[in-house]
Amino acid sequence: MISSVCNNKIINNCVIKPMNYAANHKWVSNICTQFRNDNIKFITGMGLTSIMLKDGLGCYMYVKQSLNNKKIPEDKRKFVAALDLANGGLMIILQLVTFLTISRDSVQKKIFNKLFETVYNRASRKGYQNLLEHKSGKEFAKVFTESHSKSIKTLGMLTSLVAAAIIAKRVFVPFIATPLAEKTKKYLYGKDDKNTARESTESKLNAPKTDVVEIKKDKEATSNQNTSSKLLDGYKSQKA
Amino acid sequence: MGKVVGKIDMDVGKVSNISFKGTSAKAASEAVSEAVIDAKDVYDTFVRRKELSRQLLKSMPKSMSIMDKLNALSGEVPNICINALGTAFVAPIFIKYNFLSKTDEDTRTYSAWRQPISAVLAVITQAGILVPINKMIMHASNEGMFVKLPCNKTMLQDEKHIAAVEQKKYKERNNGAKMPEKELKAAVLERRNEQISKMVESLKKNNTIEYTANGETVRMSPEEIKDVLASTTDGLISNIKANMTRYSEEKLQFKVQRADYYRTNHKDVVAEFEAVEKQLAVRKFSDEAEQKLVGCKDLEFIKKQKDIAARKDHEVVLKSIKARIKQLQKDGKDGELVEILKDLSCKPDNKSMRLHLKKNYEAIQEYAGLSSYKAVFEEVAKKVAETIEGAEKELRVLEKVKGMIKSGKDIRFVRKAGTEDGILDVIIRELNVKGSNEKVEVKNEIDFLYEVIQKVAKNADKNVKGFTQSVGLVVSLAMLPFTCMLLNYLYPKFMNVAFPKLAKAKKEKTDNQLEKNNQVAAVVQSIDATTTKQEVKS
Repeated sequence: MISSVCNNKIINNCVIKPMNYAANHKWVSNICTQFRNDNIKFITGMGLTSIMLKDGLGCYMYVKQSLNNKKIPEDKRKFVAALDLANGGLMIILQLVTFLTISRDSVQKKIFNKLFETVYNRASRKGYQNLLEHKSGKEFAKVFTESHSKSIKTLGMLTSLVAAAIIAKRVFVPFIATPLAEKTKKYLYGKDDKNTARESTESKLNAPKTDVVEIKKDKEATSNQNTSSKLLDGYKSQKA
Repeated sequence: MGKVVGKIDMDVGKVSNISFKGTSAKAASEAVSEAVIDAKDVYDTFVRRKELSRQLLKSMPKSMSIMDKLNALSGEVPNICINALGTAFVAPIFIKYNFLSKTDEDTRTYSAWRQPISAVLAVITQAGILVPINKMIMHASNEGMFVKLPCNKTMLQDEKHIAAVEQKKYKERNNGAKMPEKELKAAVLERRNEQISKMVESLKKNNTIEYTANGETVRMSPEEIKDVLASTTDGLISNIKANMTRYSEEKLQFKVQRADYYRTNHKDVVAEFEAVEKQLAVRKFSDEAEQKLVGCKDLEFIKKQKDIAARKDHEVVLKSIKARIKQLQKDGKDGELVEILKDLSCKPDNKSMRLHLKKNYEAIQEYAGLSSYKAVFEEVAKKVAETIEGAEKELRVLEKVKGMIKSGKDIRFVRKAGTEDGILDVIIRELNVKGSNEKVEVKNEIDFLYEVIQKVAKNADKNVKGFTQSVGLVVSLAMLPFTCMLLNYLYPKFMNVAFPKLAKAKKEKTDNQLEKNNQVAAVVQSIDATTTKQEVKS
């Protein structure tokens, strides 16, 4: 079907030609070289880069959305956006750190030996060699080595992706994000007094038994405190 | 890019197989640019190794078959799927049951449902668009729509693609009827054989490999073929080096350890071997079968019955060895003795067990007479050194070949008095560890050509994979805003339909919160105004 479609000039100009251009682009050539050399770290890293880029773009979109979302009270928008930003950033950082840890040769070797040592050890190798029909020991050795390296490659890719995209991103991030949210809150609203006062109001608002009267009392207490301190300051400066 | 030499006709039967099998070494040496091997031999190597890999995988634990299938799945689509799996099945659990979160349960459940919906949408919008794109790239690479070499697979097409093309042709010829499975398999094999033979022929006669680009036959440029030959030789060299390391480190250590154990504990080993020999002497099932088969003339049936009986006898021996191993382990006996018995238990039948015992008795005899560990080490090292020497010789030849490739020498045979050797001349004549004869020469040639052709095919495969993943990355990233938009639109609607109570509770909560916020904001404003007044007064 595609070959018949390809006779179409539009398809040729819009699909085949750009595809050929892209296939021969310097960037793609470099990527292909890594694939040819079976660079597992690069191949897995590329897969993870794709996930992280999407997380980054998603994060940007969420932040923008939160900042412009009129359904969220205006005073909370910045905070919600900051939370989105922290969540996205944490996802990317944690995935990167997990990938860099898991994909280390020493870690990979340990995981592989733990899982498949019995499959590829000397006794098993001898067993398979005796069991299977082959023309020469060399031929068997080649096939066995190929199978070994293929398994190492697959396990490397799989463990790195699962650890980063599932465990780090979906298990650790939600747990770390909650305490981090508090810190973000403090960082964003703890700079000036006015904001701190607003923050305390907000936290009370979010508390389950919040009462408007209680807030009124609190706010009055805060304002009295501010007034008395200001009076004291004025007295001190007059004395000086 | 290679030179265009004309249109290629890929119809079955038009490409002739070269057939010089059986040509004597002498005759071959007199010939100029003549093939020694049948091109089909290279194809047979492909088939044999593939079958061996399949058998190996079959005899390994099931987890290895799963790993093999997962390897074939690598790319952007599996990445999206893995990510989606985490989003759909793991994230909701940690959102709903996050003990650190102070949000109420309804809100958490409501938020948790967003995850599987977003995962499904990601798979539909991103993987859904990538699957046909990937198929199109595969088709384009197999059909030669990629003009340049890296992603062009026309020299050795994928079996799946050949099968689809053959099926289509058959359907056209037979009014839509499907091609029987067996015929289809045979057609695929024939087509692959044809393509491999064509590559062998082209390599040996023209120093290049031909492929099709936009319907025209193109030859790989000298630089391209040089790259392929160099990387093939590099691969062979690194294999030999890895083997040498394995021999000089792991194998030497293992052999010395085993030999020294034979020297110091030969009595224990002999006792264990004798016990096994006794078991091997029992031919209960074989004798019974022989008695039953007296008078039977069906040779095939006799063979089958004898095989079954021999297997049963072997199982008895195997069982007793395994029981002995367990006993030794329970008694806390030497690990090495257990390993010796384990090695024996790996043998597939009683015949190979006897052979293994015979070889090990010889080894025991050899090492039991030695006086010290040092003597054992020297003896073993001498034997390992012989193997390493052979590998070193191979390495020297391959280094020479690498030099020839660099200087642009021909791959084809030259074999003409007064002219320089071609690469294949050196390979078949010099790459013989244990002396040269016609059989070894043929094997060397087949092996080398197989490696070159496999390299070309694998390179194209990996290039296409790299290109597909690059396209996947860009496309899935471009699709993300659409996925997000769709999620924002569908998620509340889905919740309203699927979980109306939850959605209502959430809405009510949001409304209450908004109302409360407005109320408090008004109070705060009034307090702010009062405070400002007080400040002004003071």
